[in-house]
Amino acid sequence: MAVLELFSKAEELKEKSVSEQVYLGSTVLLHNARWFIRVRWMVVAIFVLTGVTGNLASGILINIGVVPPVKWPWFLSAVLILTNIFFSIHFHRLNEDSRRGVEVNIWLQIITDLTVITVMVHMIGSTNTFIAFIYIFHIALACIFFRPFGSLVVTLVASGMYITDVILEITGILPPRSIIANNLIIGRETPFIALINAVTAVFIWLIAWYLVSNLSRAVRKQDKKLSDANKKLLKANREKTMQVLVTTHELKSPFSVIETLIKVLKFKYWDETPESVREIISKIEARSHTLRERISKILLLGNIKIKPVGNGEVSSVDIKDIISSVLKNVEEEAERRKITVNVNIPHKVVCGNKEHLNILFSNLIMNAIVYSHEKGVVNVSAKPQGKELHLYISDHGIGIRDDALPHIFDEYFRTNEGVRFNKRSTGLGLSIVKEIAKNHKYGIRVKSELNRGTTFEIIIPESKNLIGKED
Amino acid sequence: MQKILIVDDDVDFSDALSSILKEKSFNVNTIDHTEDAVGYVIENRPDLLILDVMFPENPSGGFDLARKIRKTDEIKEIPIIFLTAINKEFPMDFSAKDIDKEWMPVQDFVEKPVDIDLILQKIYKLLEVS
Repeated sequence: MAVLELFSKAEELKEKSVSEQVYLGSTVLLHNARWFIRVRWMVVAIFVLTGVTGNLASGILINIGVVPPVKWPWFLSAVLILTNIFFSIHFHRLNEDSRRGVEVNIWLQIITDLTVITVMVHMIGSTNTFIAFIYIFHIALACIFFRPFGSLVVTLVASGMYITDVILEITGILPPRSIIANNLIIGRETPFIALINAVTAVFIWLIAWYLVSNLSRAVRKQDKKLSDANKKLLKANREKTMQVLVTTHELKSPFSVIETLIKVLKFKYWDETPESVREIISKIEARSHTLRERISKILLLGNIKIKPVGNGEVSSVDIKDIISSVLKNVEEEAERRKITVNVNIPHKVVCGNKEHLNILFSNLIMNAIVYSHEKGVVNVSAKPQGKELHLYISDHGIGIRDDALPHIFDEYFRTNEGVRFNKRSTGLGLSIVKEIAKNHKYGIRVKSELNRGTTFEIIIPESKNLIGKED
Repeated sequence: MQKILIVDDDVDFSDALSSILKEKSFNVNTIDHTEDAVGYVIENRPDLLILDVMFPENPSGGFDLARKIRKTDEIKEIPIIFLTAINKEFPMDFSAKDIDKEWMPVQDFVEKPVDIDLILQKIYKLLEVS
């Protein structure tokens, strides 16, 4: 038995607009803030590891000429833990609409990080080690995440903090520290050399800021161009689709009139029409009906793609009511083919577009009826699984070949077995189901075995699955 | 004999529907454009109007005519049935639930292809109550 799954949990359905990515919209800022918090936990782990090493392996460190970091890593990790908890709590209260709040969160994180880095640089050795270059990570990140002005502010704040530390050390207000045990290094370094070293470091940071921010700006400009081109393409595609839809609609009208004329003919002259003519007229009517149905499906699919939410908008709908209304529409076909439809659906209110859900379940239940063998059984049931609601539509019909299963949602795809069984199939029904499920962020799972039958499973996630009134 | 006016650019359709309605003893007239249709309605005073939505000269000709009729005192009470091949599948979608005094000032809505029994039922209902 083959299984096909669409829109599973792993698949991220949230699509960020390109323009939002270019201009660092709230969604991207939120993502960045979340990333900073995650990285900070890793830094906490590194500090803890440093503290543990400093305490447990102090003898070894002294032997190799390193001053064991005994207290400061614990102190800094405690500061980072507390501030990170605060940032996490603050972050969880924010949403995509509170851009100002997100920015404040990020800037507080940056200031905290720079302060912690400055203390660490002081403890490791501000001018007699290369640790001061650790500021460059923050400067480079700021150049990527912010506009040039924002990243310059970060660079200047970092420079200010570092130079202040060095000046405090030179003036003796703060005793100079170093992780290097050999105090000769500190002794050899005059205050002037220390200042030159510090200024050189800041100079390098400013160059790094200038280069990275310019590169970043160039990349963003390119992104913007791509985004604009993409928007134009999307617009052109939409206009083209609209044109196709209008033309398709123009095609539908004559078929509607042909059908109406046949209805008029049947209404007025049917009794006096010879049987042979009736047969021809019925064929014309059936063919015209099939063509109109096909055009209707093309229009429906185009409409759902152009206007995903639909005219009916999203509201709370009882899934049992939807299925009941669908069953009324399909009962004639079920009776004609002597198919028994067993339904076991509880009252459950879900979030969705009523018209679209009607179409989705109509297509699936009608397919189950149409592709069942005569006198077959179709089961329609629902089962809550955790916080999700799973709906099952299963038949014991012709089934789908394993190699065809991955393509069943493709537009105009029809299996040979399917065409032989149902010549009127348009190959669009399941594409419509897929689009509606995608728009609703519902999952789809299909299990099928050739000549055994098919089960379609629609997975309505928790957020779309409102409080249900059980039977 | 009650008078019905069919306004539809598809003459084949109007003639076919007209022949059925005549058989049901209605006095039926047809016109295939919306230009000067208000004048025609004032002059002929039909009891009911069957109106198509889209016209070659104006894609929303049916809407415009219905709105004009509702703004013309002597004919504003005439019941109107909208007749169209547009339905929920089309981006310009509307249906009976969208009937609104301002936007779509009609009494009822029938989708093409027309179900003869359904339209007769609607016509009888509207002519009885009007």
